[in-house]
Formats: sequence, structure tokens, C-alpha cells
Amino acid sequence: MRDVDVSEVVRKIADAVSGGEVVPVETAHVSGVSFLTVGKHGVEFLEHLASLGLKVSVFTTSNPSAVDVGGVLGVGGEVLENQLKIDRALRKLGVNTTYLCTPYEFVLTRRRTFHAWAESSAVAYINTFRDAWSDKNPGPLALLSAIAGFVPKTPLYTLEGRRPSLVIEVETGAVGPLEAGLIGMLVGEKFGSGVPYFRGLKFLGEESRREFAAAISTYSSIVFAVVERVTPGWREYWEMAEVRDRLRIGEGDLSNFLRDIGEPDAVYIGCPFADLETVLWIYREVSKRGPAKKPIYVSTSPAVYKSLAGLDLSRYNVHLFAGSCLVVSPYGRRFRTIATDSLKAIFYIPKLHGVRTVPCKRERCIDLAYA
Amino acid sequence: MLKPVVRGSGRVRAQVAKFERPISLLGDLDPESGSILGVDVVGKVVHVPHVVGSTVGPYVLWRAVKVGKAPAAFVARKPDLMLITACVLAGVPLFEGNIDTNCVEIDLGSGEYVSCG
Repeated sequence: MRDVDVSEVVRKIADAVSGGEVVPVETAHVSGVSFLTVGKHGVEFLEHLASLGLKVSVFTTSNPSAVDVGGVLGVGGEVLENQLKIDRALRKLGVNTTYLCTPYEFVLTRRRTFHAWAESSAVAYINTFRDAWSDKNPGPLALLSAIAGFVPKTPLYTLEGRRPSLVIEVETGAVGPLEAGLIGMLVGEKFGSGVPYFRGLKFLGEESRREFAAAISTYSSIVFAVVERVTPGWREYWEMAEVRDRLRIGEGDLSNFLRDIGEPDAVYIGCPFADLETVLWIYREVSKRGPAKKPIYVSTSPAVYKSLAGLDLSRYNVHLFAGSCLVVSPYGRRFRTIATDSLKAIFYIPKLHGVRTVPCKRERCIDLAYA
Repeated sequence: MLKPVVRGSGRVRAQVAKFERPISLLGDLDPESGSILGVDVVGKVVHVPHVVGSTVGPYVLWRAVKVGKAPAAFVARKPDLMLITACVLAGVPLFEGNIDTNCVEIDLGSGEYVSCG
């Protein structure tokens, strides 16, 4: 597969999904870069592309890997060896090996520009909170599009394809990370697809926005929601809405989910990666209470991790790590039950690692670590 | 007549391996043996409702082609971006529709087929 052939491959996919139409992209974000998820076939494919001398033609970032940047999780052996092969191949292809699921933290995608992103939570985030346009592209397609510089023009790259079709009335007051994720999950599970228009949905902070985007895109194929007074251009989207279904979500719908809580042996926060404010909030909480009885794992971006290099969290039994997470790393397999405020982690950790998960509000998660 | 989604070329006579439930290319397809859920699919027409699962799936089909263990074609009731990407990358023809026979003689370019079963 040479350079010209890569363009042909993307065009051929476009022939099948968008009548041959493509759109140029400003940036790309590739997923499927953890050895645990791509396996030896993925390594081989990436090395094959790199051996052809291909390069990305737009600014391209990468998703988290199986190995964390600072070595806190101590992943070694075959996983480390193959992860290094993936790292070399990605660098040769010109990919910025950022190893984060929150590229929007520093890639400030502008409104109504096109992007070839593959991580569903990040796609949902930029569509919903920036009105920057991306479909959920399969990992290899995002990479080939990064090389070609364009993607198939699927409906989400058109205004028509972003027409709201569902109205969701939220009657809960401002929501924290867990509740935001629950609302995303409820809507995702009920409808599966479509473009929801949310009324009354207010987020308590950045972490809530991240959890909402991650949950709705994990439990359905929805990667774009319009949130009234939040999504840029929400008024225009409302004016073009063609509503085919409605849903009302109240406090009761959320509290039902929180009834059965198990006995966790670890707490996990940071899926998607925790932002600086969240890590500092955890620090404030634990510094008031001393070392936690159960370990608290917090995944974050390499940039936030480096900016907090002077902060000694480990003496509180808090383990901050970057560039990986408990979804794509095998580390969490040593635990029986993990408590988390992330609906995405609740979905994937049992499937990928056979570890039980229990949901908790962020404050309750910290309490559980001291129980 | 099937609707071609990813066109191939030539005409083949092949058995149809039909799966009633959606499959995940990652986990269900063993690229080294060319089998799906234990059923040999090398050189066969694989018929699925649709595919589910990880964005990693295309890599697995690509590997099956590389080691000569790929199906002759896929037929899906609902082809999606994931299956289409996998088939284009791997060079495996893909059609949209439904087949109710165990053996077909199929034109991989047009999707025209006759039953041989």
C-alpha cells in the first residue's frame, strides 16, 4: 500500500458509505494503539504502513496505550515489547504519540471544521461541546485518513446529518460526572442512534462533560448531541429539528441505578482522563483524610501528569498515572471489584478484564477508599 | 441479486457460511485457521446480519487475507462503516442483502448469483 494507494483505499470506503464524496480534515486522532486491543495483527499492520515510508499529512494524535508513561503501573514483558513496536511505527508515520483519550484538551478544534477522529468519547466531545465535526471512524480508517488528508463524507460531516431527532427533557439539576454518565447511558441504551436534543441539562464541570460524552458514545452509536445553551449553534439545530421521539429523565431514574453497591478493593477515576482540576480536587480530599485504606487509581494525560510532578500523591495511596488507563492496560486484573464514577469503565473493564465494577458518585468513591 | 458495497472481480462458486447472530471480527474470527466461531470460512461466502465490537476488527481480517485464510466474500444485511473499512483494507468483496441457499455461484463485481446448493 503506497501513498497514492492509501488515498484510493479511503476513496473506496467513501464509494461504499458516502457516494464517493470525501471532505478534507484539519486533524486526526487514531485509536487502536494499545497492544492489548490491537494484538499482533495490529502491530503487523502498523509496521507494514510505516515500512512503506508513509506519513500523516495532518496533525495527528494517538489514544492511550497499554503501558503508562511514567511506569507507575509497571507493565512489562510481551506487552511492553509490542507496545514499543507500536510506538516506533506510529512515530515513523508522523503520529504525535500523545497517548491520551482527551486530545481536545490541547487540540482546540474550531467550530464547523472537519476532523478524522476515532476515539468515540473524544468524537462525541468535540461534536457536542465544540460543534467541530467528526464521525466515529474505525481506528485504521482514522489513520489512513490522516495520511490521505480526507475522510468519507458520512452524514455527520453534513448539516443535514446533524438534524436533531430526539428531545430529552432533563429534570435533575446540575449533574456531576457519574450522573452525567448515567444520563448519557440511559439515552444511549434507549435509542441506540439518532441525534438527541437535551433541554435542562447542566454540567457541574469539565469532568461531567467528559463523562457524558464517553457514556453516550459507549452505550450507543450516538456521537453527537445538542445541549441547549451549551452546544455552539444550539438554536440553529433546534430550528431544524424533526422530532420523532421524546424522553424525560428525573432524579428517580438516576438513583435507581445506584442501589446495589458492592465491596470494592480499589477505586478508579479518570476514564476519560481526569483534567487538572479533578486531580487537584482528589488531592484536597485525601490530604484532609490521610492515607486511603484502598488504592485510588487516577489516569490523566501526560501533560497534566508532568505539571503535577511535584505533588506527592502516593503517600495518600493515590496512584496518578498517564498515557494509559484501566480499560486498555492489564493492570486492573489484580483486583476483584473496582469502584468508579465512569460509565465507560463500567462497560469495558468487566468485558476486557473480567473484573467487577461498581458505580459511585465521585465523593462516594473517595469515601469507599477509606471504608 | 445482492447490492455490491465493496466490489471484487471474477466469478466464484462457493459454499455459504451463514451466521444468525452478529459477529465480532475481533474474538470470533480466528485469522490463523480461517474460522468464525469454529466454522471454517476459507474461500466461503460469509453471511452475517451485521458486525459488532471493537474498531480493531479490520486488523484481524487483514491478517486472515495475509496468511491466505480469508473468506471469498461477506454478505451482510446491514453493512456498517466498520465492516466496510475491514473489507476495503483486506480486499474482500462485500455485499448487502440476504441469501437463502447453501452454495452460490456469484459474480464478485456485480453481486449477481445463482444457487448451486
